[in-house]
Amino acid sequence: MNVRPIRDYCLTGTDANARILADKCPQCAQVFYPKGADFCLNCLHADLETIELSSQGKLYSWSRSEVPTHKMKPPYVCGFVELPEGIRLFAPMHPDADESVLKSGLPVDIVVGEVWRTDEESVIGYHFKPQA
Amino acid sequence: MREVVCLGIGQTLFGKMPERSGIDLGREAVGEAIKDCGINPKDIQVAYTARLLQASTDSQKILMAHGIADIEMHNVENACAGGSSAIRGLWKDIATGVYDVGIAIGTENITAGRKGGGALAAQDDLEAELGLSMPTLFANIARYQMENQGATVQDFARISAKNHRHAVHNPFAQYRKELSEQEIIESRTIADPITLLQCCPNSDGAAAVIFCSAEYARKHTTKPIKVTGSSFVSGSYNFAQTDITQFDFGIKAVNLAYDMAGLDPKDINVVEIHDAFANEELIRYEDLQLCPRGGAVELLRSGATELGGRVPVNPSGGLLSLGHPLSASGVRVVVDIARQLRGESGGMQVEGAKVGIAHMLGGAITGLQGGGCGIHVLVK
Repeated sequence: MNVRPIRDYCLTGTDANARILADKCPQCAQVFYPKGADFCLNCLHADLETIELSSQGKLYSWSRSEVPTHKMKPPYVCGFVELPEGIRLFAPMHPDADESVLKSGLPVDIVVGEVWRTDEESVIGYHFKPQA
Repeated sequence: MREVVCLGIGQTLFGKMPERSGIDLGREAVGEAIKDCGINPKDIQVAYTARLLQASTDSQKILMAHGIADIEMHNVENACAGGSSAIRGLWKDIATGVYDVGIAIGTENITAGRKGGGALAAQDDLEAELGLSMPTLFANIARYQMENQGATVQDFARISAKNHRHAVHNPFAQYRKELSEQEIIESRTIADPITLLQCCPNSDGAAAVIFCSAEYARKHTTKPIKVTGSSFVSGSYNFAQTDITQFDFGIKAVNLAYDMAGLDPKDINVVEIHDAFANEELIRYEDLQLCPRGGAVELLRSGATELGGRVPVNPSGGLLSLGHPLSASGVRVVVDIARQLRGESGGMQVEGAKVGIAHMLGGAITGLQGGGCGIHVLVK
């Protein structure tokens, strides 16, 4: 079974301790995720720093989908998580997590792990999960 | 810039017509628009056609059946806002004096050769792979509206019930059946809190408009409908978005068109907007300045946006009930507003309407707030 990150550029690794990578402009401080370009899309500064996004944030909104999207099978819960870096990260909820506790502003962890698998490969992305 | 007149309008029935091609539907809409204004089709000097699915030299193929060839023709795609791009291209050609008469067409056949399920984001889109789709995006927006802006599921159902009630009077509508708020809430969940009857259907159909200069219009009408404001703005970056109900590019498009038209939002009598999901209407009330920011729920509950209210929104039934043949919708909203200002809208007529807004918005792209938004201001 081949294990791969959902995008080559977006994770420090494929194990549970891996972190999400983003770009930050040293000039205007804008953070970009997912990666947009090799330069700052806000101020056009030529170089960007790679940063690790926080693995804790606050739930911004969420929904339980009852219809499939091309990689996700229903039902699945997905939502936006506000991170301290000023990013609203879209992620599915961890399949083991309890949907009934979700509310706006709930502290959540971002956990790296398998988001789907096929016969040939396991694809590593990230989920949000209410903090224990 | 010269005055631009909306002279001719035409559209097909909207609905599921898998046996009809986009070209065939386009030809019917064009035939209706030419008949509507009675011009010689050979007068048409420029054409724009919008289509999202299976498009290929559509202007040429549609117009060759009407005696129109060897003129300037273009074909555009801009997701659900493609029809607005066609309209905007035509408007600029007339306003700047490049041409005196032209046609904009929007056509789509979704149900032939494509599985239903609505417009998902592109296959290579990261967020789409993680589960983001049009329904899950608008469901997340709906949740945010409920948690932070005082909206309830009942409000979303009220919008859908309103638009379905309006469409009963629209001979072109896909669904002409009143629905109760309870039926809407109890229909199958798509992405909680959005249920099936809060979503626009998959639709086929086409619409066409003929725009011309004021001088040309004088030969054909004594009651010209003028297009006094026109704008199109592409999606803003996500990193600039303050909250997920804020579509900066949509707001910018509104401001550009209103400024051009010298329009006071209080003077608007009728509005046709992109209501792919019921909760989206609330966002557009504020974008279009029908109420102050934060006032959308109150505006809805006051009944102002229903037929008979202060500023009816989607008297046609909107995308929710009239149907949403993607690229056709951006043209169709102009058709509907022109028909309203002429006083020819029958049971969906807004009495005494003098100023109307045609809005269309589309596209889902990771990193951007959307694809684009087009606004046209029509005045009697």
